[in-house]
Amino acid sequence: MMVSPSLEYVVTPLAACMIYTAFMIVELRNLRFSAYAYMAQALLLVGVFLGIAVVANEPHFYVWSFTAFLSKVVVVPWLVLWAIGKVKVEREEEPLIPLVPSIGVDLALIAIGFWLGETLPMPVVEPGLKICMGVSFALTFMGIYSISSRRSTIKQAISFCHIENGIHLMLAVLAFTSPVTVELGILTDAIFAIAMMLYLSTVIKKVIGSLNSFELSSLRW
Amino acid sequence: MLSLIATLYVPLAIFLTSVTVYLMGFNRTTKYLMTAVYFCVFGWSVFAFILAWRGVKISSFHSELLLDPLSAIFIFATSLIMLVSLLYSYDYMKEYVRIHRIPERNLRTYYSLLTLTMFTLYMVAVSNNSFLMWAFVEATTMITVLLVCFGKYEQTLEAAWKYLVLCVVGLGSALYGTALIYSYIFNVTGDPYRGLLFTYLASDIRVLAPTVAALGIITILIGYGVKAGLVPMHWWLPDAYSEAPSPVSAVLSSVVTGCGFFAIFRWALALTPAIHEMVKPFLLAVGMASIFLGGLSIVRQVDLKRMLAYSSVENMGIIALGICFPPLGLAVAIMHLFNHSLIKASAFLAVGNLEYRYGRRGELHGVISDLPVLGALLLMSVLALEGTPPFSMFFSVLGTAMVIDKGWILALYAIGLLVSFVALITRFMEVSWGRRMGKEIVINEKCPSIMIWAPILLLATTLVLGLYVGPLMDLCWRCVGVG
Repeated sequence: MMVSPSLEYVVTPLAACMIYTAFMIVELRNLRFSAYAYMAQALLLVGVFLGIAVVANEPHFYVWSFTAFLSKVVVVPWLVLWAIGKVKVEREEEPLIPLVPSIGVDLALIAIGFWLGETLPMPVVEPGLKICMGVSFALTFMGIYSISSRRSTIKQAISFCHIENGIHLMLAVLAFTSPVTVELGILTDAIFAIAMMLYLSTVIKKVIGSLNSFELSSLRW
Repeated sequence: MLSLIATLYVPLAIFLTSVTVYLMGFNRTTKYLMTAVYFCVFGWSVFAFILAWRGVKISSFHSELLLDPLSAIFIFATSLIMLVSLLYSYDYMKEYVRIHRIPERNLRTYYSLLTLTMFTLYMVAVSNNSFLMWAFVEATTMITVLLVCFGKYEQTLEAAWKYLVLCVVGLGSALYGTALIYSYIFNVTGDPYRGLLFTYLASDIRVLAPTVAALGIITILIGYGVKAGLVPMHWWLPDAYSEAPSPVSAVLSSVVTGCGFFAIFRWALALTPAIHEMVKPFLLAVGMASIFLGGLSIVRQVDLKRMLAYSSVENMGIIALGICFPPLGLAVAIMHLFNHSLIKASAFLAVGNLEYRYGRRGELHGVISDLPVLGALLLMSVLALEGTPPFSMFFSVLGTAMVIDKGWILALYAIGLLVSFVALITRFMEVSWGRRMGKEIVINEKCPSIMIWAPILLLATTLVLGLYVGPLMDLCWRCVGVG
């Protein structure tokens, strides 16, 4: 791929905004606001794809941006908001780690993500796209942190969407030449996984009367 | 024509059966349809096994789909276990929905999902495209999650939630590794298909930079290792196995977990000796940890299904250990996965029979006095599981020991096996031969004969393959390019 020097100026601000939305997704206690922050992050991701498509003249990315818009800006947020409406719970249970230390953890994970993105000998990553690798790692790590420290099953589902955004960004930068069917297959799987998590959340709420996954502890290992 | 049957008509028939069952509901017609389709798929798998044994390879759709010795072994195990589980389900699920007060109309969802599981497993087996295979492995998780929580009570939901979250996050890691390796190979070769198809990977993986190769392969191993239930990514496994209906436990513990290892085998077959040496310490560590933790965890379990689940963790460790010593170790690992699938499915179905009769899975003893056939069957399954001759597992357990090239690894392997053998056999001897239970705890006087014959059929297959081990061994050697 021929990467124009101006690509960096297009992609960097969008990627920086993605990190900002990541904070919002992880730290906002209101589930509906978290879902809106996710929608904003997905829009930024679409913006990154469109930026690469236009500036680097890479037509593959028009397809990537269209499928990402459809799945991540429309379908997934709609599913999350539907589940929130169904369980009638707007606010998540207090997470394991309080807000201030949690922001510290977020910052540490972002630093590790960017360090990895800079140091690993990743292929394809031209200077203009190198920042995407850092953002991809940071989003994935923050998503894993969120899924393991948050009690609400719906928040855990949103965190999985967050991880998925990180993986999607990485795939776009690294494996953009893969056939469209591969990308569609992976996206379909991701949507099914999120739909399944949200569906199970509604059933869990119905059966145990709470979304707190830590209350699911009757099985002992 | 053969290539279209292998890669299009058979999976399409399975998929359409699943849709038909869902649309028409579970009734006499769909029951016969499912039984006929499952029998046909099993018949086809035997034919595919023979074709692969005779050295025939079938590919189609620009080599995106492939039937080779490895896929033939996996398809044979899958179709046999799915067929037996289906036949077993007819009576077992009737009782299951009655006990858990599930509307009978929900059975259409159960059978439809069971058939869809077979479809995704079949597609995993014939996928030659690394991304496609990943997508189907992920799909098996999502479908079986719904089967695990078919009962929809607190414990099944807990098990399903753990299973879903751990596996989807873990498999994300495998996707990372796959994309990394693909993009690197594409950049060097300039061909978008070369890093994608396993048939090319074996020659193209040499171009990878060592750090990228190690990072890519280890993330892939972690990802598929979660699905395979390797320590420390095994937390979901005992809960999912124990809470699912028994025929689902049989499928989960054998071929669904096995598809994680199937993916690892596909990657392992493509690795160069240098890359293999880099990932060997990782595999060795998780393999040994799985053997020991699996064996030791059996001791404190009361629930028979949880004991078998931890035995699965131990056996996954044995397979991981085998992969460390290619090419023969890899062949032995493939054989062990096959043997374990059949025997573990048989053991879970045998426990399901006890559950059917006594309404519980724990605090059972002296079963053999009441139910000589069921008690003996359970004990035989457990003995087979621990590698006792003449069952085929004996050869893969022994084979793993023979390929290990260092004394200390062999010593640890032997100790690990001994721990698990003592733990499992002691517990199951008590269940079979202990003090006789009172008649008052029996909830069903008689198990339907098909539920008894189902595990016997699986066990008999491993017995035959143990007595006549040649074809299976040949095919496993052929998978790794030896023989």
